[in-house]
Amino acid sequence: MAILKQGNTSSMPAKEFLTFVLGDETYALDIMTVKEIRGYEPATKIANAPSYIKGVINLRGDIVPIVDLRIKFNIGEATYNEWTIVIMLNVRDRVVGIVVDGVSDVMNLEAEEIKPAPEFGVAFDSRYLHGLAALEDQMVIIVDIEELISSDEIGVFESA
Amino acid sequence: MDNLSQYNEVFFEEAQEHLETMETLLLAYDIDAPDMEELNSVFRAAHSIKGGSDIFGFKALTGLTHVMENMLDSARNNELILTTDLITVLLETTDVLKNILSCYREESEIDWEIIEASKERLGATLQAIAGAGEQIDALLEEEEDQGFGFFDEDDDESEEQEDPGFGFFDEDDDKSEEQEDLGFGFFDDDLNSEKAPADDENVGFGFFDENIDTSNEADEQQNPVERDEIQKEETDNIGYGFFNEDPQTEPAATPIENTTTPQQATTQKKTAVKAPAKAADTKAEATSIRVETNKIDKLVNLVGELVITQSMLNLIGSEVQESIADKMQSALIELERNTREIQEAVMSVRMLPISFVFNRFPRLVRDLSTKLEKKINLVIEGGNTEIDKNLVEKISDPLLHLIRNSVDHGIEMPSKRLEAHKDETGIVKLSAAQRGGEIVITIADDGAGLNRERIIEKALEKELSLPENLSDSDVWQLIFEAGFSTAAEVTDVSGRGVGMDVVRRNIESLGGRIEITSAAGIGTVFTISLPLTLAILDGMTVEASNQVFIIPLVNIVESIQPVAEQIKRIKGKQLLWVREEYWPLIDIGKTLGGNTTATNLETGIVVLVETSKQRFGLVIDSLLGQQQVVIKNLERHYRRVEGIAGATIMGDGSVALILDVDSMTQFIQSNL
Repeated sequence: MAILKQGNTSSMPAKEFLTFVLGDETYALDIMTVKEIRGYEPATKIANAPSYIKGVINLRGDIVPIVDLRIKFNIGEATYNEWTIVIMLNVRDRVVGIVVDGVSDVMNLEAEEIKPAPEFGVAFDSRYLHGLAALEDQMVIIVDIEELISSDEIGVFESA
Repeated sequence: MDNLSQYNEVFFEEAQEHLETMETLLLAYDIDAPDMEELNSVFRAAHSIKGGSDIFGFKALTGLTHVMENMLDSARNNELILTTDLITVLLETTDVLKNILSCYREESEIDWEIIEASKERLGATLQAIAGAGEQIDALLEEEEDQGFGFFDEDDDESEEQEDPGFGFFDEDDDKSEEQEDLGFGFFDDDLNSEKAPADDENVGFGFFDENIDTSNEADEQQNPVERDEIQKEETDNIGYGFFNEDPQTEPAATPIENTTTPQQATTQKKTAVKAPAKAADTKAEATSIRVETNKIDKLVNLVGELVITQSMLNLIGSEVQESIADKMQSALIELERNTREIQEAVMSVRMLPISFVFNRFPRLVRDLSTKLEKKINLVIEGGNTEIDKNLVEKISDPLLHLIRNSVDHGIEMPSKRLEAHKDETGIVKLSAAQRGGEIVITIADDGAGLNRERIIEKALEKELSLPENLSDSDVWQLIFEAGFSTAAEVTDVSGRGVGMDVVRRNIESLGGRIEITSAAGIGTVFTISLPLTLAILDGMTVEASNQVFIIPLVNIVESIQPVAEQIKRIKGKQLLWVREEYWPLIDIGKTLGGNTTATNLETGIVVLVETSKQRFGLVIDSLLGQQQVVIKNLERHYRRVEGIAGATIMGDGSVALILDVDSMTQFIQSNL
């Protein structure tokens, strides 16, 4: 009952986002898509794949592709060291890992806090953005990770 | 009924099996030389469905099987001769029954109209064939008017009663069928009351007590679901005496039992025939259980993990310090053997006889040949060859297609066959066998064979570029091109040309190959080779450009370290001269490993491989060893990669790619 009442008081329940860093920019993605966060380990290269697909790794028996968003969007420098982070995502019943420069925080955002994104100025096409939000004095770009990962542009999945 | 609903699934499964039995037997039924035992089995199957469906309240099934059962019953008693038409109608009825069954299963709406139509059809056919209206009326009317329609038959019975030592037992035979389903033998109320006097004669023999015990016991074992009901009934009956003339009390079960005693006592032969069937039933129940397939899949996956863990241990074991190295080694060898045995045992659980697929085809061939007015005999061999469950599902469609093709395009019309001095009846032979690590399925017909000229003509029409002097097998491969059909006209059976390319693709996606041999006027043979299982593969681990790859052992001819004299060049491309043959080469490091420069042939190793289409050499840096690998699907989380069949996890936890040698031939073409 208590839960019901809580739901009634706030008109739109806040969603949780995981913020991560690519180069100098802070991005956020819906935390519900995150399966786990782990350190980078060398992947097995796949023939004739674009350079941003680092290859596949063994995630407890599953063969999972790793995408380096830094290479894909030309942000920051693609170096791999013990601090390089891979976010394992659950997208449309598949698992994909993305390489980022770092994971910073989990934040709560109400729907009205998310402002529409401009058509320019971010590395991502606006199709893959939910919008922008402010975190203290920083701007956070909220990515529609599901749309991005399953897009033809990334090409991880067979285009339907 | 609620407490029965848990048995619904069991009923569905059983009814499905009964329907399949009926179909198989009806197909095998020889009109000229009817086999009574087969007919009895069909009848029994129909009867079991009727009984079961009545208990579970699936009225639609009960009604239709009842009419069917009556028809079969008169056929059994030689009152009705089964003709091809009748069998066709019966087969159609089984189709309707299958539909109804799946409706109940999916809890969807039952189409009563179809059932009524089907009943009418059965009736109409009966009428048309037998002509003797009364009998048919009796059969049909009994459905709606139980107290009426049986008089004709009753007459017969009273005649038989005059000769109790003989004619009576024939009738018993029917009753003994009812006995199988004591709990629902109610349909013949009037019949039984009519028969009561006959049974009375038996009182003097004192059969009844003994009789009830035995038959009820048998029934309890057989049908625990109904046990309570029957027991209740039994007590009722004992209280009333067995020959209650009042049909309302439903004493039917008891008189039926009674009739079995003389049968058991006198006609030993009949019981002997039935007994083994029952014994087999109980035996099957005791020795097998139904398991959901996903449970088995899970088991297979776990075994896969075990194989990986085991190879991990092997790797660690080789680094162990001397003091315990020996002990460790022998434990590891033990572990390896056990793992392999577990793996084989689990795999064998997944194996099904290929007859699961094959048994669908007699019906198909029969229907098609009737439709096309051809005479075709389908011969099936090696139906008990075992094949992975997943393969069974996936091989069905391609086979269906090939058989349709053989029937439609392969076998000629009877008149043409006679002209060609062949037997009027064409033969399509479907066979399966295990050869080494492969299952070989062949579909052979003794038809006209593939028409070389027409295929070439068609290929030119399609503007396919053809090299000159094509060999026959090259020409046959053309029919696997998309949109290729040489059928003069498109029928609804085949000839649209959408099939063969799909057939080949499906088979290749299973890791198999398809080959054709054909001779004009003699026939065509399609040979499909499939791996025994999809989950685990014997592979050679090799290294190229610092990456590990796995080459399936089945493809490997041999591995050699080439010497300078063997390396030839054509237009800058290297070829290898081995075994009196020029082998084109594919540099794995360059095509798959991301190397920019070609591997030096004289320091590298060439693995000679062959596919159904071509033989060639794979250039690698070194051989690492031979091992079993668990095939992991790359497409589960990624997409299809050319030249790669899948991935596997090595002992150290890293991922290695498994080469798809069949699809690598395209690298040669692009290389040249």
